[in-house]
Amino acid sequence: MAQQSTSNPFIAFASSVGQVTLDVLSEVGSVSRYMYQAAREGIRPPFRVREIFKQMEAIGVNSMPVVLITAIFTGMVLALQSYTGFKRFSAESLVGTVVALSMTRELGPVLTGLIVSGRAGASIAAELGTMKVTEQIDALVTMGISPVNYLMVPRIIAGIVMLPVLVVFSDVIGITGGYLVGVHVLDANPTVYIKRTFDYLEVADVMGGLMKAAVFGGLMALISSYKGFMTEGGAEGVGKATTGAVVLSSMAVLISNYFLTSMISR
Amino acid sequence: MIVVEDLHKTFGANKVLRGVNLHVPKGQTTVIIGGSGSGKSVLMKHIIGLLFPDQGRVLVDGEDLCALSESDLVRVRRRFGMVFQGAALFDSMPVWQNVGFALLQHTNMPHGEVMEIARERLEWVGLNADVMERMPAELSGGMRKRVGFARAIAMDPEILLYDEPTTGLDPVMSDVINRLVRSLQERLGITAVMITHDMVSAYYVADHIAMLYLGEIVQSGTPDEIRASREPLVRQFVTGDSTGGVYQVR
Repeated sequence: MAQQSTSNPFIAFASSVGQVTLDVLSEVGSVSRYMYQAAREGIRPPFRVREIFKQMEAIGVNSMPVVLITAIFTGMVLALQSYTGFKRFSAESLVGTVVALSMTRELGPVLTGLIVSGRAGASIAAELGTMKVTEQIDALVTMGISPVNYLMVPRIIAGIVMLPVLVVFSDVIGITGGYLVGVHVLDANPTVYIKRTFDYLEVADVMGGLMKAAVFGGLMALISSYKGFMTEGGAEGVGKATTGAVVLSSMAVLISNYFLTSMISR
Repeated sequence: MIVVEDLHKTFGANKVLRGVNLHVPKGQTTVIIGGSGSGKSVLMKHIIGLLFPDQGRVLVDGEDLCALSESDLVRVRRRFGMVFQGAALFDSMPVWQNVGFALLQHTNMPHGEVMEIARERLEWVGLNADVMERMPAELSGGMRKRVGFARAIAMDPEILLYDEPTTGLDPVMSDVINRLVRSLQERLGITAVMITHDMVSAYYVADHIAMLYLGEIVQSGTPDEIRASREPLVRQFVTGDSTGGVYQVR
């Protein structure tokens, strides 16, 4: 009977879709459980200020160079692309506006979220995964210390705090990159460019981007820590956890971005 | 002191524990022997509440670990010290912080005092103060094990659990570790549970030995009783005979 079922391509397909759905739901359920636990333990002492600062350095400060390089080139290419398009209907003067709005509302937070997911997310999953397979996390538990409180909460707080900080720098550098290309390569008038940049930029645009960044930072740290905690096996398990953390965090950034944008834009 | 009653644990399709019953007397060392995959580590993780059974219970001085709240479980766990097979040292901090980690987390003791306790515990395990500032990656296997011992006894536990403490060590270092286990037990009157498949170690440190086979205790007794056992599985294991049923496939 079972053989008949699996030989039917439709049933085999439905079965594999069902299995994938179950796996995804199970993963979402586990992450949600950790999110609840982290929220509960995050508001209870001990508050690990030293650990939080250490993670702020690891997630934020150490990601700064790659975020800034990405931001400046994104701003520069954005100016080039929008100039090419806008020239077709004589709207070149709006290049500054487009660069500023794109960077603050969308590209700053999303690109920073993706870059930090790749850099810090991988590092978190690898570190906690190694701690898991070498029984360091069990050692914490036997000493009466909650791994969620000691390891996960400081990383989530650091992610929530540092992603918006990175995005502020990313926005400024991206807009600067756009200005450099606009003024020095495309020969735009500097005064007009700057005026156009700030004429249409509102505080809400920047704040919306920063709010999204805070959510991305929290999600990235939560998912990467979760993947680390779930690591099994040796080096291979750590490798899988690291890859899984990057993929899942990046997807979480992209998917949550749509829903956050639709909420903020209302 | 510790009573394990009818403990069952299954992972997926793999029945690891199938009704384990064990009594660990206060102030003595109980050694659990058994082949690889017999369920020794899983049993030990149940004793300290790292895993919870599907059926049965673990009582520590009459308190059922499964029935305890999270905070009560933390209180009970703090009565334990555990020496891990690979030492499980925190590789992001130096030796003295590893040894004094629980003190730093659970007390307001100044760093100077914690360092003093760490230095004393390291001395007990035969390491001098030179290693205090070294990182775990800079230590040899034997030194790491001993730092793990020092960390386990830093909070003056009533119960010590040893997970294969001599695995991967040369015979001389194994003897150092065995003497250490014995001397800690004699010096501190600690209740200890050790899992091992090293019979030299088991005979040296044990007051009681229990053999785990396919998730059940097949025999328990004093070292002399185990040595003289006529139970085929026990005989095969203690003599290291490869012809027999110890590694029978489940």
